[in-house]
Amino acid sequence: MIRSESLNRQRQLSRHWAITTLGSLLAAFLFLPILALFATSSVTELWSALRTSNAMPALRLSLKTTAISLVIVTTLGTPLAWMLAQNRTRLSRIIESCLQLPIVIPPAVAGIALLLSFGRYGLLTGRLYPDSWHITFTTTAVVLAETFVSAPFYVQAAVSAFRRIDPRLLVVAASFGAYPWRLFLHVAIPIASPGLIAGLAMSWARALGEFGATLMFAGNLEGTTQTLPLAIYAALELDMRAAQAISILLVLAALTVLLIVRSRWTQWWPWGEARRVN
Amino acid sequence: MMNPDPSLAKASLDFRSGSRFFGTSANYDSLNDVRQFMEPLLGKSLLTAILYALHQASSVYLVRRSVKRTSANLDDAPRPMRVRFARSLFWLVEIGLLCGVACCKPDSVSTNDRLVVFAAASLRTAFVNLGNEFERLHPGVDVVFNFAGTHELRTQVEHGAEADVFASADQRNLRELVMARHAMSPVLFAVNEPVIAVSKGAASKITTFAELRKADRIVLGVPDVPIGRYASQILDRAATQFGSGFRSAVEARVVSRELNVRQIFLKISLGEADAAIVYRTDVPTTNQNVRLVPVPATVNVMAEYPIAALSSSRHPALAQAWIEFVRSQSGRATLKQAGFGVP
Repeated sequence: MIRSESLNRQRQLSRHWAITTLGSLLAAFLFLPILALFATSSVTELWSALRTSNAMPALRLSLKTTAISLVIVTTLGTPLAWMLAQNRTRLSRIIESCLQLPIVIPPAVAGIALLLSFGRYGLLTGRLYPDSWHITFTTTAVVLAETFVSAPFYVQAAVSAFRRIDPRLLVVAASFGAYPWRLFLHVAIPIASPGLIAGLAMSWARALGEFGATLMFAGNLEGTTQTLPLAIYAALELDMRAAQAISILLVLAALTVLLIVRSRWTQWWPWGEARRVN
Repeated sequence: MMNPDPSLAKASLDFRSGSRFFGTSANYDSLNDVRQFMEPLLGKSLLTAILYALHQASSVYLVRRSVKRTSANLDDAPRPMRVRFARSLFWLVEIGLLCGVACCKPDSVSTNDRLVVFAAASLRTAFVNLGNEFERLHPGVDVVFNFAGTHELRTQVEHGAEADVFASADQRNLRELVMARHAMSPVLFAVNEPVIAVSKGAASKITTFAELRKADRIVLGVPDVPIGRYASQILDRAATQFGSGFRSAVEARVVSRELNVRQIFLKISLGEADAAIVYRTDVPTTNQNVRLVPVPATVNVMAEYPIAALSSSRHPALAQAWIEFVRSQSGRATLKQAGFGVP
């Protein structure tokens, strides 16, 4: 009996190692290329490339446009996700699936779809807004493209965060007289906030890396529509080193924001109290 | 809907060649070839599907069993025969699946000689036609193409992509390859003429080169890609002819600097921009949405297309044969038909 037990433990241990090995394989595969990006560059090279190339205006534009699209995604995406999480009908499920389509379609196709709807001869031009509003080749187009490709990530995360809320909490809150608006704003959002923040981080990262749709829909003009990924691609035509330097800039910017969002720092945020109660 | 592009369908089947980035293979001409290629694969995937179903069934059984065991707290009870059988079936199927996957990998060794041609994207139509003809003339030879921007191709070669021939859309990129000893003895085989592409909506407004400054929205290439460099040279020369205001007037109307010539052309054919400088070969004569306005010869610059064999080539003789074929009488005719000039 004892022998079989120790055998069992051994087996469990070896399985534990299997899990570790398999997991670290993927981690290494994901880390190494990014490490290579840093390892094959030097600080002086980075500095000179960043000063000469058009990286700084691109970074500024990227931060500005992703911030705006983040605001749009949050203000419109949260109610949508709440709606979808509350309705468990077949229709809402179909809508939920359809909302994921922008993740699936290739970004370049997304760009063409945006052109066909908001372009000069687009479906919505002249119907939804006057002809004289030229959207393509403007910063607005960049924001639209980023919102289009990044919003599904947030909505998906937010829906599952809202679904994870214990329904009894909502019933109790409602029985204390919390009307739908209050229920949503003061109960559901604080409880779901960790999930919402994680979703926002994902969606922001996706918007920052957006390339294909922006190139198609907004074009590439320094200071107006040239975001960081476009600047990287443009630099690639001339000088791989410069492209690498801007990529490192992009990685560092993204890393900073993601680390801040994922850190314990978020617990000091105003709604931390509600989370602890939960 | 867009017209289905046969070359796209070909490209999606191109995994047989065993490498990811070869754009088009001139190999699968008819549907028949495609079927011949798919049939053995279908048979194998059926086998794989059956094995997979068995795998699922046995694993579901095992998982259920283990759940039952833990809930009943029967950890020390001897394992019944059924479970042992399911376990061994599970592993057998796993091994079978692995083998199945390994067998499904298409044969990487082709009996034919493969000639790999890296060519600038603008050469697509001309080279696909030439490839078909070359295969007819040399039985047993597969011509495989990788069409992309010249700079992308150069980067691939510099990082070890194996190819036989490199056809560039400008002198500079090939010169760099020759200097790094990746390619040898380039020869000029075609020239391409920058023209102004005008969208349908602006066609009445812009009929000559000088009227380019009337366009509201102009799209050019990034100065680092060949078409952007040529556009810049054209504007420089135009400044001496039409007055120094010409260049600044045009540049003030530039709404985007695209990264390749296909992107530029797309913006014009969708009507998003009024005018752009592209290559003559980019404007199909059948396209109703785009009007072509020539650039006067006094202002224009010619894009020169050199071709060279690569030093990593496994078939140097075949590579040389391809280069000679492109420069032959019939090769020149095909290039001319696609809109190129031949030296």
